[in-house]
Amino acid sequence: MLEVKNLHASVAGKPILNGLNLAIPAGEVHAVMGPNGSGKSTLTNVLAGKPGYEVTDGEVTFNGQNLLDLEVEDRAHAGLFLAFQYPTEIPGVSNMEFLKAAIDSQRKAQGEPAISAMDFMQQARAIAKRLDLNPEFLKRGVNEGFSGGEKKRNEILQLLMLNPKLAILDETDSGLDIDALQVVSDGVNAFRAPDHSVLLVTHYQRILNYVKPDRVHVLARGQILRSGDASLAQELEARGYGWITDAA
Amino acid sequence: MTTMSADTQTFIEHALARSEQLDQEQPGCRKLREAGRTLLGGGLPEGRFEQWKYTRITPFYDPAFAAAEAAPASAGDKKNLVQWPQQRVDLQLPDAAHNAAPAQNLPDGLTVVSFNEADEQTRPLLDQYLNLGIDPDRHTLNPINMALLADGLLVHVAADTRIDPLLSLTSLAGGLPASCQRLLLVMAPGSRATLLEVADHQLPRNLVVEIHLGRNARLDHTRLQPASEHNVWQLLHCRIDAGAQYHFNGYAMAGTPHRNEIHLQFIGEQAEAYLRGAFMANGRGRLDHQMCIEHQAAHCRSEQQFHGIALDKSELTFNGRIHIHQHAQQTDARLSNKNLLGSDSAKVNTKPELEIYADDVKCAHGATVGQLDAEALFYLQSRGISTEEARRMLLHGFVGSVLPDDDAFGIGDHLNQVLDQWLG
Ligand SMILES: Nc1ncnc2c1ncn2[C@@H]1O[C@H](COP(=O)(O)OP(=O)(O)OP(=O)(O)O)[C@@H](O)[C@H]1O
Ligand SMILES: [Mg+2]
Repeated sequence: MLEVKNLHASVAGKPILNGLNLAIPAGEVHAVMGPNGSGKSTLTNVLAGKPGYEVTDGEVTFNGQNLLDLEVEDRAHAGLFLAFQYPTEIPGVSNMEFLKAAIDSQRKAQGEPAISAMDFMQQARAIAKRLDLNPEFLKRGVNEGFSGGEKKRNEILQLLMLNPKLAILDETDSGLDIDALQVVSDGVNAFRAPDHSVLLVTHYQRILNYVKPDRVHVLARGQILRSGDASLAQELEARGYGWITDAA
Repeated sequence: MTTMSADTQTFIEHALARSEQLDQEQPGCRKLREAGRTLLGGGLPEGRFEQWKYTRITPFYDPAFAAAEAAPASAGDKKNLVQWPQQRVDLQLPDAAHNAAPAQNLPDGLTVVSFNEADEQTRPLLDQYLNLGIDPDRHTLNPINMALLADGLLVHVAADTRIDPLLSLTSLAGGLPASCQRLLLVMAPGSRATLLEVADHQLPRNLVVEIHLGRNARLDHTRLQPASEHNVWQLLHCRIDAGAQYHFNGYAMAGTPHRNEIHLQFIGEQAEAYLRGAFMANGRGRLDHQMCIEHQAAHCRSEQQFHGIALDKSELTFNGRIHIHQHAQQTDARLSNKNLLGSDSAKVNTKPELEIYADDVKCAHGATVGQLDAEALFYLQSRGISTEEARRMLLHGFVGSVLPDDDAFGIGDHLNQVLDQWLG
């Protein structure tokens, strides 16, 4: 599904990613962990195409396409979805209007007609309910005045509505209370499918109890320094990152 | 007054002559015209000075205002700019070419009469309120309105009366090369009403709206000012007595140029004013908005939130003056003006002007000028929304966040349509 080879990227002239390699096959969930400032969000932003992130070397293929050649919106149309670490507030644009525009733009790219208002509302309400989000949230400005946890649930709402191929979750579990973590994990598990993949950035082993990863990677110093199965997360929880970064 | 150009002198001469001629034709507003002539006789300012820093004043001395011709009026179609509720009272501003439409089936407690038709009952209201509290030095174009006013409209709401139907105010175009119009709305103590003002500036216009809110009165006032190719100057002057509430929602599009002056005076304690609105300009349009809130009484509150969008080569000016007088202790005054520049050639001048003479007050003032939020753009694009569409949504949202609470008249839809048209 996703293949990142020797990726070098800098922000504001400062190199952050230094030869990162990562491959996520279809149907798998890969967790990426690593110290603060190691470049995890940089990786997710580079993949989503955020302006200001300059790729200086390497390549990224997404379902056979050269991802780095695509515009931001075309990456979404190709099936890439990023759940933001800090979702943006957009006052004056209602969540509903935003979601419908997003779905319609993707349908249009697929050559499909716009979703009917009724189908849309039904789906949105059903998914909001599943995520324990009051349907009133659909009427409010995008993320406007949402609590931290509400914003994260709103990201998962979008994930389930847009149904991409690859979900990149940047610390979607941070700042969630125990119940919300369960709800969000259920959402991610509902997304799991043989033709769906997940790149899950997290600091905590806890979410991995709910969303079982196929692989766990440690990102530090702009590279994947170690990869393993789910037990690696437990080891990190017990030992920290020092033993990996020191060895490198 | 320093020496005036020959053009301005000629304008004044013609205006004075036309004003005297109106005394013969339309004796009703004679007193106001006389006062206007006295002011005009003192000359008109020229050049750039503090209040006219970004907009040239002389184009507003348009000879068309002093012209006597009055062709038959076109039957003014009410444009479908907003959703008009069924329940309404239609008010029409008179001018030299249009009579005030005879008011029919008025609800109890509502009086509507043209200045020229005022009787013993209503004339004292004109004498008491007309031009009350308007500073001739600040509103330099008011004397033109006074001197050249053929007729005006007086609306009175009786004490402790609530007028449920919407008061819908329109001004007709046609029939004149330029038009001066004036509304005097007097809300007696404890009264309540809703006013929707939709302008149709298809000619140069000099418009004054005077509002007097008696104790504990409440007015909800919405104003839509579409773009036009003409010079438009308008003054909204509102005096707010103790315990009264004024809610203003104003949406203005630029002209060539448009100049709006709003002057609020708190004259009694515990009164409140909430003002919200948007300004939009495209092409080479210009809109100069001069806001002045005068807190002359203690324990009052004013809140203003205005958003501006300047596209293409347009220019927006927002001057937000808050004047808190010495006795106006415990005033709470807030003003926020945010502006978006839609192109490199667009320009926004926004300036706070705080004058505070009381020591126990809260006053907050914020003004920003910027581009569309890059983070928000990226967020929308990352969901598959095209750059163009994302831009459009953000502009809609920027305007959407200063719409009236329920937007019962569908102003949001109208503004969005205008924006979409402008964005092409
Ligand atoms: N726009 C930017 N301008 C300058 N420096 C940046 C920018 N974005 C990221 N950086 C820097 O790049 C480095 C990596 O940041 P990044 O956000 O990718 O870390 P992270 O691994 O996601 O950290 P955290 O766990 O705290 O979220 C940091 O040193 C950060 O300060
Ligand atoms: Mg991060």
